[in-house]
Amino acid sequence: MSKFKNTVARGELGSTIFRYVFLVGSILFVLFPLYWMVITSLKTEGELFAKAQTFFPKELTWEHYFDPVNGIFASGSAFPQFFINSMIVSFVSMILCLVIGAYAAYSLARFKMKNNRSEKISFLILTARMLPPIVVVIPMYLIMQQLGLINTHWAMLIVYTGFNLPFVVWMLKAFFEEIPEELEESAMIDGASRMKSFHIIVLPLVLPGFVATSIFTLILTWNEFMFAMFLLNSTNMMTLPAGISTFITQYETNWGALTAAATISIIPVLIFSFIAQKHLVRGMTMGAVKG
Amino acid sequence: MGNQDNLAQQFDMERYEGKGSKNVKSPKNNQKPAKINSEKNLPYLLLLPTLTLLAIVTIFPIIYSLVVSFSGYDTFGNSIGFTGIDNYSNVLTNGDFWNAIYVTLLFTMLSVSIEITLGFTLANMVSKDGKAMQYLRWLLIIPMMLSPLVVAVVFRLMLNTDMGIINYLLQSIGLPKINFLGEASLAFASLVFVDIWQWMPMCFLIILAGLQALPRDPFEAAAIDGATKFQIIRFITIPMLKPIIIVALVIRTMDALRTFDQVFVLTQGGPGTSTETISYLMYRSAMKFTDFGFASAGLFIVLIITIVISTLLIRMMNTSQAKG
Amino acid sequence: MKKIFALLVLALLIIAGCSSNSSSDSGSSNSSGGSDSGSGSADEISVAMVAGTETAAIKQLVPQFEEETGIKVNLNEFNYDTLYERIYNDLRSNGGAYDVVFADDPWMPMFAGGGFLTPLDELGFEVEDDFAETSRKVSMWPAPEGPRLPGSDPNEEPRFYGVPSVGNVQMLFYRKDLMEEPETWADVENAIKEHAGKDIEYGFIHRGARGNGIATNFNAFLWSHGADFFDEDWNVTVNSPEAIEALEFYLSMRDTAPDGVANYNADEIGRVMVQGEGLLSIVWPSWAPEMEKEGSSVKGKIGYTLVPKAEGNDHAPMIGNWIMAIPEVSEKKEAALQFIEWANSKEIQKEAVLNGGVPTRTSVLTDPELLEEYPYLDAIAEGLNNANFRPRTPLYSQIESIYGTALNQAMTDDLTAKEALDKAAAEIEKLMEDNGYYK
Repeated sequence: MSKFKNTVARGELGSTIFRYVFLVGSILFVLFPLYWMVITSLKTEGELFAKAQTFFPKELTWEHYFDPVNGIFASGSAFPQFFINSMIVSFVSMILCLVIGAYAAYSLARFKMKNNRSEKISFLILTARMLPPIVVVIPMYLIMQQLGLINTHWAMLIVYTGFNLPFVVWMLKAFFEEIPEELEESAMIDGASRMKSFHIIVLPLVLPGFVATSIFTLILTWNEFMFAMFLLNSTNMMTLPAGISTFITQYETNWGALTAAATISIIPVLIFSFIAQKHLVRGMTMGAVKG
Repeated sequence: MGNQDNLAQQFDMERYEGKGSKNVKSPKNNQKPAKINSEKNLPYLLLLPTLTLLAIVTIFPIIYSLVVSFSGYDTFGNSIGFTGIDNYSNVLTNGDFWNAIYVTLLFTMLSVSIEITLGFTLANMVSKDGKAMQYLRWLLIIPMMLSPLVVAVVFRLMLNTDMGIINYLLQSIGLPKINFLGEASLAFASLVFVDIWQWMPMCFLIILAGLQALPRDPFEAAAIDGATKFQIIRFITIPMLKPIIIVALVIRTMDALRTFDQVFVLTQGGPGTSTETISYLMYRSAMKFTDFGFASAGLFIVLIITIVISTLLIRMMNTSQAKG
Repeated sequence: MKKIFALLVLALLIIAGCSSNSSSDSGSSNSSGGSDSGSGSADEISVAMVAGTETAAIKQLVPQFEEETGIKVNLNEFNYDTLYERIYNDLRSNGGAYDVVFADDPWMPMFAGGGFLTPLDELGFEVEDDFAETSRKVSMWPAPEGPRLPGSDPNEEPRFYGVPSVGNVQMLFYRKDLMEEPETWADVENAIKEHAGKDIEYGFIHRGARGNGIATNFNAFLWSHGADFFDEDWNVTVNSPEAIEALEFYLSMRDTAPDGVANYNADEIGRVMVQGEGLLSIVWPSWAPEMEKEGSSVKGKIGYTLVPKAEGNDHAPMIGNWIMAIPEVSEKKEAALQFIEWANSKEIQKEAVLNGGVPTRTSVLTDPELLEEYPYLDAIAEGLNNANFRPRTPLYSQIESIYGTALNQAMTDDLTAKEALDKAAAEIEKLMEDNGYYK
């Protein structure tokens, strides 16, 4: 009996060790590319292209960031503008998404429509999320051109708000469904209208849901590349991914500046995701799975 | 001037309504019937802005594409009128198109299945640990928060034959250099690898959430009955997690089918056409070769394929959730 | 949670405020320029250019122009791959986002042939003979030489649609400390045998990447072996025996090249050369300043010369000029022309050389003062005088894609030299046929 127990313990120990090795391995696997990106941005030009690669720069330099001529924050550099553009487009589009999407989500979560219509509409909205962007991006270019919106942030706001709405609606819907309906009913009995009870009773209760949803919308917009590349054609309007893609040039790739730009561009995303980590799962699955 | 002001008004409205609620007198007795009446159109009214905007970004462009897909274009990109189903027959007899379908499907199947397997394994390993895992979990899922474009840029640097760190490491342990992006099968494998790096964490996260929500009892019962770990996973964990796994599968499949950014940065479809996904091919035919008719027809076929696959997967998700 | 949300809302409102300001800026410029979404006011022009060293030289001088003329210049830099699409889509849809565009010379048939550019004589501007001859030829439409598009008037007088601005032409970079200046490919072969793997790591460095990379690199071999894409009637000749011989020779040099050459682009080639590992390579002039830079390990050791030829043929480096042109829909043609005139004046081209620019004016290329400091200018001048240009058809980008894919497949040993060129020829022939070149 005692012998048996021992083998069990040993087996446990073995599997624990395996577990930790696997875990540490996974973490290294995930973090190394990020480490490499940051470290590359801090290497001098000579070290970057040296035969022997270094895992920690022999000589730390900020030249790719702050050099007055070649740094990404130099006065002639377009990078700060990319950053500001990304901020503007993602935040404004997020607000639009939340305001427009919240009502739709509430409608789908609360009202029973004829013939199961609300489920059909929900599904219809979901199919928009399945649409590969390449299908619409080319006609969108021509439509925006006709509207005179090419190369404006308005175009980006329309596209991003439209494409993130399915996500916002589904996610908020899941949050609304968690709020017991009795709360609104009692408010309505007290004389509040449906919308009023929505605004003063329901909305405050789903605030955490709003924060989570907003952060995911931000991340999605922040990272989008294809539309930005097609619809923006001057450097001073570009968002980060489109702007960064212009750093890869035909004859010579400036890896120092490129990795510096990449590093700065991910900082906001890291902050956003850190704030929303409790809701990550729900965000990623559009509310289909609770996290 | 447009949206911002509307937005401000919206905020004001809410505030106003919030304050105003005290003043409004609403007799209780005639409440119910009136409400039902006024509520009749309310659900649709609330949906209207969302549906309008969705129509603008999806239905309009699709109709536009549909028209274009039946039109011909000359070398300079000028429309030369309707050409019937020429574009469709051109697409369906085009070797590049079928190659792109093959590349896209193979890429999707390989990367999604590996991501889910790895994510599942990893989730099973950390599921028991409590609070300490939370920050670790955040670290593990950083990749999926990043822009695919930035990720591709970093891997382009690391996979470089001459100055890339991966080749440097290979050489330092005495192995020959590998030209990751210069050979067909390796370039394809690299693309899959980058996708796994970025999206395995998402599968991990979703499955982990599912695991943590599972009831304990069946596991305890099985342990008492002397089931091995493998048996527990095979006969209890997997069946119970099935709905969640399918959610991960659906989301990842839809995304993998549209892969573009990574191809754009890492391989531009090469070498040869070994990494040319359908999105990239259509981009190339429309934007580089001005063959808008061809591209639109191709996109329609792709759209149909995507809808079929997604609908199948969503059916699967719904039935499994209904059971679960 | 509430606090975080409150902060968030505050931040949003602030940013929304900023954005409505900046959006309204762009909005107002929109209205003044009609459908124009680029820069609005008359004293502001928008330029689409390629990012990289060739244009960096002129970029640094732009403030000077702004100060002199009061015209504000918005420079939009894009990478090579997307620049063409951006310009083309804007031209095609009459977007008018740019007032000056940088066009790579093979794009001219599409841009000028499609009627998207302003003929410069319309603005009363003449391109002087001081610009190198081949550079001038590629700035004209219809092409002064070679077959013309089917259905076009064979007697139409060529007109200038742009000013050649960056005098890129393929040059041979070789290690003059190790070898003699090669005249023929046989000389190159001998030199590689003698040195590669001995006193230097690699022999010839290929630019083997799919598409534009290998296509341009191999063109120099194709032409210098007496082969070409088409005959005078657009019949495909790209799989002629001479072409196959050229490709076989090109492939044979892989033995002494780095492993990854099938994926090398201009960037990698330049890097290998500047690190002193390659014996010779075909490189664009913009890398020359890098080679001669203070601290470079090959400073003073690189010879610059004409791309060699096969015995009995002519030298035929490929021209790859950047041409500045004005879109037909631009509403600021006068200011745009003023900019182009300034940017390509003798003084500015001279000044640009100091920043690593590649001039197109013969007088600048042969300026004795500059030659002392910049020995490669001579080779550029010589190159431009001997250069060939790519087929003048708007289908060239598709031809290049077919050809560049097939060549790359030969490079990775998926196809033999003959198979690759036969495949390319068949596909190009079908393309030309589909587009009515053989009626």
